[in-house]
Amino acid sequence: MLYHIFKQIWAQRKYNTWIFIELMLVFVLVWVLADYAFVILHNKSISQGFDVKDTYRVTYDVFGKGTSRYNPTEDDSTMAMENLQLFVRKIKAYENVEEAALTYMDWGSLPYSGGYNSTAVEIPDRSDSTVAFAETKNVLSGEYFRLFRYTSAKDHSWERPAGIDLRRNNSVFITRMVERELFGTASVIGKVVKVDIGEGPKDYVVADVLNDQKRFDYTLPHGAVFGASPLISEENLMNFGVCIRVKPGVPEDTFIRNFRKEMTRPLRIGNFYLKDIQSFKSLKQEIDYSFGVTNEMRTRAGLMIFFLLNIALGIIGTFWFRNETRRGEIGLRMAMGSTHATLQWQFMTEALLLFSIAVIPAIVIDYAIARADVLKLDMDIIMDYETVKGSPYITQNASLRFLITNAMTYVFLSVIVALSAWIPARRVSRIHPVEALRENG
Amino acid sequence: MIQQYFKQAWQLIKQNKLFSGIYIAGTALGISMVMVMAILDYVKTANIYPEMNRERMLYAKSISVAPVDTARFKYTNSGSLSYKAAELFFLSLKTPERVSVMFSGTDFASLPNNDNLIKIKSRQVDTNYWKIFPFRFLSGKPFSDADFQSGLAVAVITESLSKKLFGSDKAAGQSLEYRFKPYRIVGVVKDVSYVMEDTYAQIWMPYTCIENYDKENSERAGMIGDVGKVFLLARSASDFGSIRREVNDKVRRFNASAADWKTDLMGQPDTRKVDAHRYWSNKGPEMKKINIRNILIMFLLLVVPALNLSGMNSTRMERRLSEMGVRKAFGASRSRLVHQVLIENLLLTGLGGFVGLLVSYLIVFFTKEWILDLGKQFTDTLPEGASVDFSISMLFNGKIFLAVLLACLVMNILSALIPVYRSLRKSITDSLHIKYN
Repeated sequence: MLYHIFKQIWAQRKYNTWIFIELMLVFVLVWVLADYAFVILHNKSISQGFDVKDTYRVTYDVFGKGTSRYNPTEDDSTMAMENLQLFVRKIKAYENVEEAALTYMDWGSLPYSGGYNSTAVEIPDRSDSTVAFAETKNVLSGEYFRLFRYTSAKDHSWERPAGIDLRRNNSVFITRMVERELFGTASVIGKVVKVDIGEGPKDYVVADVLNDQKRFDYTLPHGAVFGASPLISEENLMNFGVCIRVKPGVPEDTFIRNFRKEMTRPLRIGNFYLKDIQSFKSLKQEIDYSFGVTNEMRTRAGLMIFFLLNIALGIIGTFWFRNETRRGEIGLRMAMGSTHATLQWQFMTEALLLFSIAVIPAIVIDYAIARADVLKLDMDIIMDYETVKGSPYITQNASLRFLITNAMTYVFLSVIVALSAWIPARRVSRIHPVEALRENG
Repeated sequence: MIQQYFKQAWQLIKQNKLFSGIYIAGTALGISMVMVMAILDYVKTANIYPEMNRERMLYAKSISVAPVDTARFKYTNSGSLSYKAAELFFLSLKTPERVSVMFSGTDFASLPNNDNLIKIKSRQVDTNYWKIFPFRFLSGKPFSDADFQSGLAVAVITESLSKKLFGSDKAAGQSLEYRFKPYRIVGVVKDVSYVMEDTYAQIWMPYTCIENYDKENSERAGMIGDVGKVFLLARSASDFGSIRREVNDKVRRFNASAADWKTDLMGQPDTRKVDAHRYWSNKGPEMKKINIRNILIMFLLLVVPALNLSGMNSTRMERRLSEMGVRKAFGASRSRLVHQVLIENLLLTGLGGFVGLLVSYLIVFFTKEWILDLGKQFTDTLPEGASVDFSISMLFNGKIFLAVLLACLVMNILSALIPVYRSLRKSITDSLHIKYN
């Protein structure tokens, strides 16, 4: 049967050339897109390491000298700090708010802030020079962990890190990735590391190890070090904001609308005023949009739809015409006892076989593309076709990833090809054999 | 003769509805994608209200500085221009017709002492700005040279902001607060579409009323600052060369006498197209690479559907071989047959192009909020309450229609030439002899 179909394809090679070239080209293009989608989806499936659901960032500003609403009697420093405390207390007392705390906002300390600060992590007085690189996050108080639910690797609770005061005996938290890179499997709690969390490289005691965290949800996890932030004072108060966590299930838009409506007036305290409130969910969307993958994904999704429509149209067109010209043959087959089902099968197999042959050179081209390392992107997503030893992630196993993404493309396109061949096949197989045979004259 | 071709072609299309349908859909697919690209390019570079002079404008926004002592220091700093740099290299130019400096910001506006705060986009500009960009004033007029020189707190606002605050577009003479400072409104202009990068805003005021706009930063020779953009209006595009020479001359003179820092404008001032692609402050866009990439994408977008059409054409030509044979036997020359088939095909492609253009309008319409940001490296998210509007003139204009025609022609040649040529090479007897199947 297959041999017979193969002969058919060969006999029609003149018309098949075009669709063959197209199938090959589209396979390569769709593979490039599928490979990207695979990496993104794979990375997204890895736990974020923290949880920003139901969290919001409230920012404030102060009326300066020279503005119409400036109040000089409220401008001395004790007054200002007291007003700020009142600002936070009022937010904490607002309905549905579970948790509210002043948090340090500079240097990418908040999730999805866009900023990024990195440090080398070393073990002081150790002979080898192993260095891990990590993102630094500066934390004003333990409430930070309760707000964003960064969890301890030990018992996966956020209460554990929240209960530790990082200011006591110069403590830091590191994530598991840093632990793995520096110490292997040994437990490191209580050991000393040398890091720069904003005050130059200094020795700190590791007070806890946290679970791995990602910067964006489409990147692989990377190491992080959590250390104490500067204390708040009149000089740096614009580097702080109020982060809140509300009761689960409170809809975002109503919460924000009501908060703005009901709190704008009460939060005008001294020279402070409510500047903005935004959910971390929308902050994440903004960051993804402004220098993340949103645009890239839209472009690629658009191209994907375009290519799929093309091959669908190509297969439908090619087979439709061929079937029209082969009506005589079809009539003959039906007269000889082929059922509708077998005829439809035959067309679909023919299309799939043609597609499968086109895939062979396409995969060779894919291989050349993967080797040429042109898939690299100007972003944090690791797209390079490179095997990283010891990495637990499939995307860093070059041959496995190549296999999976090509298989994905093959299965996906097969469905499209089979469906597209089935539409004309169904139509043509409905013709009465006598009518079909008559055309053969 | 041509008329005859068209009549015949129309008959053929009507006879083969199925073929024509698939063919038109296939063409439309390719054309629509290319047209989306063409429309985006048009919006980014053509003369559109209020940026009516883009074709004779040059732009500058970033500067890089490096220590003179390259033996000891091997680094460069880059960022936005400072007012000092803008003054030194651009405001003092003689060749351009006009030069304008613009700062940008986003902050709250409100009625005096009212708690209803509206976040808006602002531009701090000079009087030349109003001459380079011919805004349509609904009431009032731009602030005057005297206002500008004395740094008066006066402002021009948009129709929509005027309506929001005062309930009418006749706000001239009223007051509002921006960043909690009072401004007197001198004019109201027609709204600017969000897609106009350099002119979209709700409020404009003289930059002389911002404190320290010309404050010199003592570091890096005071070259890096926070000017948003510098606009140069040339008398005509042919002056671009001499303007660039004058700018380069100023930079060279500055660097020759520089003690600590050398500066580099990295190829600026840019034409509109280059400016639209300049994202990084430390290097210019590689236009050659960008152009090649765009041409490649356009080519792919046309070639993949053209492969479909070629396949269909070659099947069809095969079915019409006997017709061609008969006509050849009666003396039709090959070139005449080629012409006829190409015209037939062009009619189909034209119909496809028309459908494709409509589809591209639909695509632009449904994705208008973000489609202009595709391909950018850094983008701003749409401000709250703003809407992206493509005006009629951005979509329906001669240039866009010309682009459709061009795309159709390329598509036609790509998809019909080879099959037609191949089938007509056959001898008459072969053609006459052919029987389906």
